[in-house]
Amino acid sequence: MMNKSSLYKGCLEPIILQLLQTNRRMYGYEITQTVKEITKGELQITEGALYPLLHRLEAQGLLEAEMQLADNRMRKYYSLTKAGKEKTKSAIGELQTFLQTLEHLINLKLT
Amino acid sequence: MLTKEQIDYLFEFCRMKGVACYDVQVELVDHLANAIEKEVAEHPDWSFQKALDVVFLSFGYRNFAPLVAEKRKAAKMFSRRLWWSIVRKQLTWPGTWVGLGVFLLFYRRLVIHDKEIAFYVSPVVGLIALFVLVTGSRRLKGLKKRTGKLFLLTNITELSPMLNYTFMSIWLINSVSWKLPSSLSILVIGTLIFAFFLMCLAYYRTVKWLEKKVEKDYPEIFTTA
Repeated sequence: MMNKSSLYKGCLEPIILQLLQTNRRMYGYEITQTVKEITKGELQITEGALYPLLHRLEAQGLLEAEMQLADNRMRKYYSLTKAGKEKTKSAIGELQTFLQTLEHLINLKLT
Repeated sequence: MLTKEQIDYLFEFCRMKGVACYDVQVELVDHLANAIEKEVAEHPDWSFQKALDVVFLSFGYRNFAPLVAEKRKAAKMFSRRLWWSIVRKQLTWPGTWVGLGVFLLFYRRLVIHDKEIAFYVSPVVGLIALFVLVTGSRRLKGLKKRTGKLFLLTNITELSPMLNYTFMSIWLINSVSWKLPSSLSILVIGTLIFAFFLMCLAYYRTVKWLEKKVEKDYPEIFTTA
């Protein structure tokens, strides 16, 4: 049986960008929980995959981070930069094209 | 909500698991704390330690070293991007371009009328590079002294080779300039020195920018230090 997380792996970047587009700003733990909630536990982003990706997107200038005191600790919030918003559009577009191609291929095999 | 002692313990836990830099610890501590609070809410009979063990297992690591390695790569990419963006910002009309023109004229006079003065170009440029690197490094070390903490974001040692390579090129071309047609050596060395000064200035501005960012992001460690 194919591992689900490996299927989702390449889609993680557009998923996170889209989430930040919708929610304006989020912190790491919030992202993992929101994805888990939306997908009803079908997709669980591991910390080991999430943080390197967030840090890379920040380094590429697609995300910007802001520190804020929450409860009794500092929290790092991520939001999209202007370049990040543009990237989100293109990444989602690419993902949709990919899904259509995949669907087409699967239907072709079935028929 | 976790107590201050428990939060402090999480910082210590991160240190024990290989996270030495405060900017990485802060994010991990918040993540661990959120996850522990959720676990404890769902399993009221669990102790803080039991919840921490379960949460840490979900990371899938024996320690945080792989996460730190990824963050280090991202931090390098970040500082390089920042440095380049500062270099580009400096390339504005008229200041820098007028500066380049004045320098070319000045250097032309040096080469044509007094070759001995031109001989000192490389050592002077080398000393400037050294001064900029040492000053930048001291500022960043000062940050560690003021807070008692390390920051991955301020580790910009990979930027110094860029200054060194430019200096080496200036030295190399300057040392063979007498073999080259005068106009060519003036143009090449002038452009290289111009680029070198831009890089030095951008390096220093990068250090200052990072310093300010750390002060803005983590004010709590500056007030208690």
